[in-house]
Amino acid sequence: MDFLKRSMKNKKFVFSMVVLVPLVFVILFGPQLAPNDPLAMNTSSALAPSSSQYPLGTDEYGRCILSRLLVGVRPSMTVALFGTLGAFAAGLLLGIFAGYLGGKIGGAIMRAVDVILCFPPILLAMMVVGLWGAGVRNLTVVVAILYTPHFTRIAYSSTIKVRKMEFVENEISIGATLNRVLFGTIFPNIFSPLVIQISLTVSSAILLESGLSFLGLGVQPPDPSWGQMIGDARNFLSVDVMYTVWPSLFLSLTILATNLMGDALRDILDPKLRDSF
Amino acid sequence: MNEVLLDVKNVSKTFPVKAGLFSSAKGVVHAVDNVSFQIHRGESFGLVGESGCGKSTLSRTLLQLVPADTGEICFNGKNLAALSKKEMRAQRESMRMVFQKPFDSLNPRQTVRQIISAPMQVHRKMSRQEMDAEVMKLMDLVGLSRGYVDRYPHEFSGGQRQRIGIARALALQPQLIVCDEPVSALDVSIQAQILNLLKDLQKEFGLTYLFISHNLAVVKHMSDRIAVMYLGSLVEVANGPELYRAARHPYTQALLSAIPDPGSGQKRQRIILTGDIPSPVNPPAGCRFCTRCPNVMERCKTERPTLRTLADGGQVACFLYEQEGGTA
Repeated sequence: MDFLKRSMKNKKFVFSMVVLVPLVFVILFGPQLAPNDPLAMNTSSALAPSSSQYPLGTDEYGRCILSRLLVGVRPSMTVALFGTLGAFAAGLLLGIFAGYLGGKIGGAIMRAVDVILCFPPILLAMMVVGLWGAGVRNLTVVVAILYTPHFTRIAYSSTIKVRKMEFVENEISIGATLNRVLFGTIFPNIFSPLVIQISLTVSSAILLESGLSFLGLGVQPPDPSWGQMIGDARNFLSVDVMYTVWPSLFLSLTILATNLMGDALRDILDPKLRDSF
Repeated sequence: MNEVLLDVKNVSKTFPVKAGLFSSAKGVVHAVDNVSFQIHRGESFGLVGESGCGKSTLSRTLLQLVPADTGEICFNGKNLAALSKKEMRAQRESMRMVFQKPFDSLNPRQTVRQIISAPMQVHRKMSRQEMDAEVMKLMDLVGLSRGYVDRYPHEFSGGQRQRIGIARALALQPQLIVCDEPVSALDVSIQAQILNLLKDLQKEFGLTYLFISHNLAVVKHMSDRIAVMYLGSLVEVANGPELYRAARHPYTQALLSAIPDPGSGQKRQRIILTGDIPSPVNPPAGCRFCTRCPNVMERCKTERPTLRTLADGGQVACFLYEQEGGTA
């Protein structure tokens, strides 16, 4: 209850909720909300401006942009959210263990994770797609793998800083189990930088999904995704500006909202900042 | 004398010093060097020494927070190093620590309630009501208002935080509390409050303290027996009043002569030591103190004096007292 009350006082949190709650609704019920069939072409009205039939106009094949946006949010957000969560979970576990155990085991974990950083993202994506085929699920796995090192490194360096502090020593001295020390004591103290990283990663994962879909490695046409739509619209920038503006606007709003959400969560969860916003 | 609660036998702890990224160890720091002493149930055992002499490392090896290299630590007759992880965890219920830095020893993400009840959460299956009642009792004991129970550590002053740390150490009635410089980070006026609180609690619960400090006045006030540490080893162990009246070891004498005496106005004989403390990486071969001792003999430079018990029960590691009775 206290948590909710504090959250509602935080302007950033309220704003991000105003954007994200409808977004979740659209992710769940997008296909039902769409006014037109997102795949139906109507070449006679290609690149049309907004009208009562096509509220946001049409694309180069005469497909309804609004419908495609409402349907295309699902693959983009699935990849971004689940990919980020996967990277967060894997990175947290690896980083906290590496940081706490230190020594040779910790070094080995960190070097193994560093190897992933050597792969160009596109190359890794092509490898996965080549092995298992294109699609949302595989793209999610690619995103999770690609962003794991970022989370691992943050969790690792924060853990190293925290584990030498006396309150961690005290936990050990009262006989706490390893589980309690790592996830009850250390985790809450390294949470803030990780939350920030989550919001940053969600945004860049959406962009990565766009890029990969643009290359044909993600969502396959004619199914829509936001990234793919921006990629397509780019070619018609001089003819129909709004075609590019609509998907970009939705994408920017979503990214802004996730960033603010991360900021707000850090403020809300840190007792020291509790009364300061 | 009461039964022995903590028996420390020949404990040593060294740390490797790395020269660089790719080279192997360059040498070892002898942080704790062959230390033996006993703490009896119900007494307050003081440990003094200058910074860097290994006091904190010793306290952490006693609680098995860092494993000792050699030697035995027996608590209640049980050798702690030989216990399984599970048995050791159970032992931890009765040995606790009060830490030095009040701004570092409390988890900033937990409320006072969570901090104080941590030992109960680990060791007992208590209902919420029982735990709350216990927390309130502890808050009263250490003189914290009950209304503070849901606040976070950053809302408290250093003295109050130290009280929280003491309440946490008292939970579940431990037998031994290791106080690692509990007042060195506090204002002098607050120091007295905390020391008196510790004394009162000891009287009330029959606690045993290992009280570590670099402040001679604090140790004198708190301790029944006092051990003096220099460069990783004990040089003298004696009853408090006797140590201050007639210190035996030259290092202790020099240390005591440095206590300022604002009252008398008399000029006292101050023993001023020359030179620096030798590096613990490369300590002197014989007596650790031989490089600075005013009474140094040829023999001190090659042979190491052991801690010998003298006729009156005091112990000293110095060849000057070899003629006096007692046993090695």
